[in-house]
Amino acid sequence: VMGEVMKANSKSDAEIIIEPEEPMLAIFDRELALDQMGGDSQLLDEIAEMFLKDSAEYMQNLLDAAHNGDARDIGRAAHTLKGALGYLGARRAQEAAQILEEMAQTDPENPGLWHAQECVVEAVHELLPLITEFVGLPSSEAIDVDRFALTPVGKVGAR
Amino acid sequence: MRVLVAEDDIVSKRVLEATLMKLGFEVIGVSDGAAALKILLAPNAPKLAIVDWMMPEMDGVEVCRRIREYPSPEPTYIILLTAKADKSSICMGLDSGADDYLSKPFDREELRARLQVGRRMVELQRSLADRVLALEESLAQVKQLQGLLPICSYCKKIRDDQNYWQQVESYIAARSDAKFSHGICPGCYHTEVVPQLLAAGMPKEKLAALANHYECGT
Repeated sequence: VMGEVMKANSKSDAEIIIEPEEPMLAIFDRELALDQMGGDSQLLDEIAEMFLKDSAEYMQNLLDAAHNGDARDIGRAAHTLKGALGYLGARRAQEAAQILEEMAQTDPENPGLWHAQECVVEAVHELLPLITEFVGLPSSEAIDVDRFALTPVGKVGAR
Repeated sequence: MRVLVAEDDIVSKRVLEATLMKLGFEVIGVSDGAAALKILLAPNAPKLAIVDWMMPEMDGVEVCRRIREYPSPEPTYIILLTAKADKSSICMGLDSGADDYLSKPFDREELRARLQVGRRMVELQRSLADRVLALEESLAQVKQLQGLLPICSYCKKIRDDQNYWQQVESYIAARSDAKFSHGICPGCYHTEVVPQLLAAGMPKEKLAALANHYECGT
């Protein structure tokens, strides 16, 4: 699903338009991340570890918001996640989070919201092993993001 | 200079704090708008603040609105940190009372430059506030010399609030920063001093030389 930008303009699944995004954004752009830290590699290590430690919370907030069917909370959770991803140079996941945030804010009734959220989960799923490796932890230390994957609950926007 | 950082996301907050410390700022960090407002309204509050738009409890826009409800001679310079890049959001942020805005994730050079503007504004406000205070103090001193002063028509002593008659110079000196140096004006020299000197036996030639000295104003 990743690498696609969803621009759903109607309330029907059938009318969701999926446009391929180009070029493919980097999962983890280390140079960009280092640049965001002003070249301070120690700070980047610290931030990467901090993100790993908090990634479960970021994802849980997203999941809780979706299960509560509150588009505003989804938008807020996506916004917070987007900020952290931006500093890490996680461009693909950042883009996915931005799309989710915008959709939650501007088109909360859109049934494609759950799909946009899955895109975020998938992008973070791709990112975490790279961050885990970057900070020098064994891959077993990475959190299992699969538990945050959503099914089309149909609650979002249905309140 | 101290700067308040209000940001709920721990990653963004840490990056911002580390960047600000490298730029030489003393950072006070909080994680929600209510805590930010409490610090900014306290005595001796930091005069520079970077406030995230989206925060729990109270968002950054509301923080700006609340701060501006309390006019201050040295207002806080607030930079609103936002991922909302559209014009209407930026206008809304500035209308709420923010002085500037910064997009997330921030660019370090842009942050440095915008903080520099903030620092200049804070220093300018402080300088103006100091000058206003100095002017108010001067005005208070001037006011002490205003009003109707009862003065003796002959000796020119002034009657003070305790009903004592004071020499005009001691009266004014006690109520202002003015200092007096004593001399004799030409008129008084002729009417007061010359008769006394003649009575004391001073020769007229010497008196003429003295008169010339005073009339020259030296």
